[in-house]
Amino acid sequence: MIKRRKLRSQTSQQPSGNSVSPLGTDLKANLQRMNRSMGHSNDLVIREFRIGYVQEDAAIAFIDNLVDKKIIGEFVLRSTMSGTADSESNASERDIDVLDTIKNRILPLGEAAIAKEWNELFAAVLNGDTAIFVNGYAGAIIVSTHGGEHRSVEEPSSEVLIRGPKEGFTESIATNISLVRRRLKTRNLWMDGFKIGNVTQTNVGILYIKGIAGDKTVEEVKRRLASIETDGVLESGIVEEFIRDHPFSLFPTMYNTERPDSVAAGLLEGRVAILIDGTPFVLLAPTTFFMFFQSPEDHYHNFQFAIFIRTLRFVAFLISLLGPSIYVAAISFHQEMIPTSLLLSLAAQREGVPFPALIEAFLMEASFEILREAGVRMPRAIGQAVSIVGAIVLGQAAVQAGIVSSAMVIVVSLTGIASFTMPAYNMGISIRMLRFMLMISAGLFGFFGIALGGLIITAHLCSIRSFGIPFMAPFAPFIAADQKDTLLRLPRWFLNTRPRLISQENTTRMNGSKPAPPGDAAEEGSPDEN
Amino acid sequence: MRTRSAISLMLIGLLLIPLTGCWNSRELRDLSIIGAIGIDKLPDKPGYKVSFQIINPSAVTTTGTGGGGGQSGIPVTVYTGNGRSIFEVIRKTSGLSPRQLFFSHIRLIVIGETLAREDLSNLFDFFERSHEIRLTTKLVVSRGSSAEQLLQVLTPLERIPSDAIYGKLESTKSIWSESMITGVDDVINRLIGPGKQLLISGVRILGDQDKGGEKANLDKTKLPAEIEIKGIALFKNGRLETWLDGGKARGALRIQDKMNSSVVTVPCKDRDDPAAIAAIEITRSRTKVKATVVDGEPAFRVYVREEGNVGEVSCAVDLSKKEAIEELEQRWRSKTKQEIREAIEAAQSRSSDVYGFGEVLNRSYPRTWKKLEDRWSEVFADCEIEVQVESFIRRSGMRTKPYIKE
Repeated sequence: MIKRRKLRSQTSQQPSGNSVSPLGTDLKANLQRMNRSMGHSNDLVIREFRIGYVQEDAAIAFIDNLVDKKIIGEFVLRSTMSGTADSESNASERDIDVLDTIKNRILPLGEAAIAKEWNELFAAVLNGDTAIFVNGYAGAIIVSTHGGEHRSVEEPSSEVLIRGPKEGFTESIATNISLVRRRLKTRNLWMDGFKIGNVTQTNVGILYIKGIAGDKTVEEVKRRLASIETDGVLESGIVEEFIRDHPFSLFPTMYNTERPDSVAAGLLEGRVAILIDGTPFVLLAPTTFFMFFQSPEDHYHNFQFAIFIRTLRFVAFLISLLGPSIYVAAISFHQEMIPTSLLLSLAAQREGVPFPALIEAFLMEASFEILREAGVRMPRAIGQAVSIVGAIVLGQAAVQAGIVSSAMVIVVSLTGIASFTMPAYNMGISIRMLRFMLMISAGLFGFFGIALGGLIITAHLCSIRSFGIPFMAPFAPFIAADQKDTLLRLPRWFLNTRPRLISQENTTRMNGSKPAPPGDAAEEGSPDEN
Repeated sequence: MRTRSAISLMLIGLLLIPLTGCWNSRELRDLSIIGAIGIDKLPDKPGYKVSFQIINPSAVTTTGTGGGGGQSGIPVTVYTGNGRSIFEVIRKTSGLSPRQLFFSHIRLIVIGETLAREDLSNLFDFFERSHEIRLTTKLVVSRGSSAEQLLQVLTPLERIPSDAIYGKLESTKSIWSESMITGVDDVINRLIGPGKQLLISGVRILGDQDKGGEKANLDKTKLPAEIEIKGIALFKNGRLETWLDGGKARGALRIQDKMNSSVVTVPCKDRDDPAAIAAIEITRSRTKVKATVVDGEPAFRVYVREEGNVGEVSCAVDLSKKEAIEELEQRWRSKTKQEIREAIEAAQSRSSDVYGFGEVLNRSYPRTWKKLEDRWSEVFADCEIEVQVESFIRRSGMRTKPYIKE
């Protein structure tokens, strides 16, 4: 953070340094200026040649490794170098802008434009385009020659599914957009582009389905993105922090995913996707609390299983949030609530334990968190071994040494395992932090403290919004129609509406009708059977 | 605005600290978990002798791998103290117990017979007043020994004696039905209810009372001292009057419609051969008590409808024949009638309405009840009580004709 701020102050003059200034007509001067502006960087490649068609000196400039050299060789250099000065056409077209002619008649490439101004030119070249200068003309042709190394589309590592598409987003925004477009072949899938970051000039795109996404939401997303003032955007988390609601809330008010199918589903519900170049994590807005409990898989398996799994997930959520605090409260305040035989067995276990229950819980939870963090940061090869050894040492040995009770180990490990059932990692983070707060209040006030903490959390959750949508929708406010796909997941033919608050104007999904034998289907006259 | 609300939130949070009523966080290892309380009368002066059966957790649980493994294997310890009130004794006992006594898990309250024969109607205020003790805690009367002695007896299988006694109560109640389970709440309800008197199950020590508290009691296959659930104590005005045993106890349960299941032995065929018997398992028994008033005199009818199976026969009787079944039903019916009669007689002779006939009268004829309320005990003793029984044998087990030949 501090580093970034420093960087900004150093470089804040730089953009203003090469403010709006048009290109000159002299080729040599232009090339020199370009070289100088980039500090004679080695990877700036300038190749001078002669355009065959007008017999004029010219040069191309591009950044090595950002471009596809095959395209440059095949389509840029070959087509411009070939040909001879045709006197007839020469005479008539001498006065016409050669740049236009080259662009319109010679370059067999999809994307080409003419830049008249230095900033524009640098932005394009640094993005992987190639600039063609022609002597005597103030301007350069920009042709799109993106290339270079990219990670290929792989299975997303942070959101694993048993059933469902195995494609995940990559670091390239172009690939990511294509992954979404491939799923939503509609002309209503609209896209807007931004460049964010004074230095990084990161490409940021927003995707939405016109007519389904609320216009106000789209406007709001655009407004917030446009207002970002920063040096650099390296990951969607940075953008998220700039544009999210309630920046001090522990709960994530924006959803991120690595899965194109999740994004497509979000877009179909009327959400807006924010794609950022350089990261596979795509943001979705507006976000509601219950999105974090839903896995795309809920819709890919049969609905009975989906209901079962969702119920299980909510139970696991409660366990991971409240597990240790309920244990601490019961064991140090409400012994009368524990069944006698269980109480006796707990009492026997705690006979030799030197710490109060709260301290014991803190000790174990903290060591579990350390193990977890170590497991993530460890080099992959030893990470697993270390966490297993750590678990055995901390669990088994600590119990045998009489430092912690085995019941506490059970509670902590159950809590830990339960927290892994959250499909969204960032919701898991907030639960982990809140768990410690609830443990303290349970240790101080017993169940009263837990109730109090729960009340505060609930009140907070009900008070926050994400891009104008209440975070706890469809429970607060209660929307009956949206209950079909929140805690439950009803069969597809029941899910005929979109979330009401998110897609405000167009909420009918028209999902088709229930599968039925052919005779019945004909009677019902449903056009989209299967 | 935001800072103001944040500050006020913090102030509210601070206010909570003095607000917490249950601030008394207690660690488990600072608690003595009590399984049962015994209350006896002091021999010569007013006051109680109260015994606490404290459970030793590490000796009870099998997998207690905590530090306390080296302790003696005796599952309970009994502390005893004397005092004018129960509450006083509890605090006094702190001089004996290294940990604070914890009452929420009491399974059983044992009342010594001598105390029961005197008066226990004023005993229960503490149990109702204390927030730790549950009103559903069960009561038993220690029969023939002091409550203290009873609490000292060690039991096998169920290592905690109070659990063992409770288990015995439960199982014998459900399959033998000669005893009943009475909680503190039941007792208080009965004491304040109209004309109702107490019935509490009895518990006695079989064998050598002094050996029960030794660890050796657990080292033998035939226990030197055992605890048995035996009989029901019949009270009048808080004073133990008599014990109902065997058929009488069963009759008492039938009148109160508390019969679950039992086995009745009836003579089979006409012979007076004591060895020729049939055992009938009661599977269902429903009792209705109805009151009538004739010329201001209340009378009652106890109507029992019972169903059962033949479980054992020791004479040659062909149960595939309708007549044989009907004959058995007839005998069973008279046996049931006799048990109920005996139970009613026992209550009427002590003029103690333990079965709640007064309440039946109150429900059907409140005006008559108002008139009789004050002298109900005497009226009850002379009441006409008719008993009607219907018995049905439903099944005869895996065979009809026994292998026994005439």
